Amino acid sequence: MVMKESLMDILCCPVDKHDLELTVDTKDDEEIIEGTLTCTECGEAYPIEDGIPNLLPPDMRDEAAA
Amino acid sequence: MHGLGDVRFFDRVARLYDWVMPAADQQSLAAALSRADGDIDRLLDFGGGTGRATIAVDAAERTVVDISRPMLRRAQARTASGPGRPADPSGPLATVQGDAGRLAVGDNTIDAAIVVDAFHHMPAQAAVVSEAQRVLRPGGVFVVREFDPSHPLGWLLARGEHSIGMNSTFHTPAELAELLADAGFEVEILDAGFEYTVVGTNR
Repeated sequence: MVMKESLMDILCCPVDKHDLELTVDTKDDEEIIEGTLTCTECGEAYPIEDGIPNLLPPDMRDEAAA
Repeated sequence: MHGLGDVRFFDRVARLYDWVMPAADQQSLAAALSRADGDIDRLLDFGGGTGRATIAVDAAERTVVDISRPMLRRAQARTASGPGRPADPSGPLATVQGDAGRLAVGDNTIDAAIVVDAFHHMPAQAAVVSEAQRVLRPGGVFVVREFDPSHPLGWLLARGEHSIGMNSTFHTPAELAELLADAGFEVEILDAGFEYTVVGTNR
């Protein structure tokens, strides 16, 4: 399934474990398709694409995309 | 000691890595999960790939955590009858692209975590165990199904994976049990043989 808002109950920043703030760009009923999760502490932005939040630590995200 | 491990391989084989969990494995997982105190509502599958094991366990909210996005797209569309293609309608599993050694999951939020046939691919094994301990609530369980390198078939598997360039690290049941005990889990080895199950209860 694509990301439900209830997943926010468990998610946090992978680096400093602080809370994330959700910005939704595309939504289908309760499900988030595109958006951004931003750490309320360090400000790092994690993209949600095709209903999958990419919460790899930033150094690995770059490595995985390379 | 973090990193992608063998993930490039799984990005490439996502389409092939698509069989359904055998019933025997499903029973082993259910037996291990029953060691938890109380109900299992939230379950994470670390290195869960296409969701083959995740779909076989019983929990209200099941989430696959994996580094490989192609695998997660299959998990997203997986149903009880088999794996999905990315274009298929979405199934019951949630997905998070993430690293089990540096989890994007809060403390004491999860009832159970499983790692099925994947622990040997993880480059930061001690970090994975301590992250599991952090995110599990007291009484929650961490279940690892792995291959025993001291079993003849396990030895062959380890040789095979190394020969195709994988950096797999296999443990005997006793070694894995010790890794979990060192992190503060109360540990039980449930079944032995080529494939074994270790369950740690968070105390």
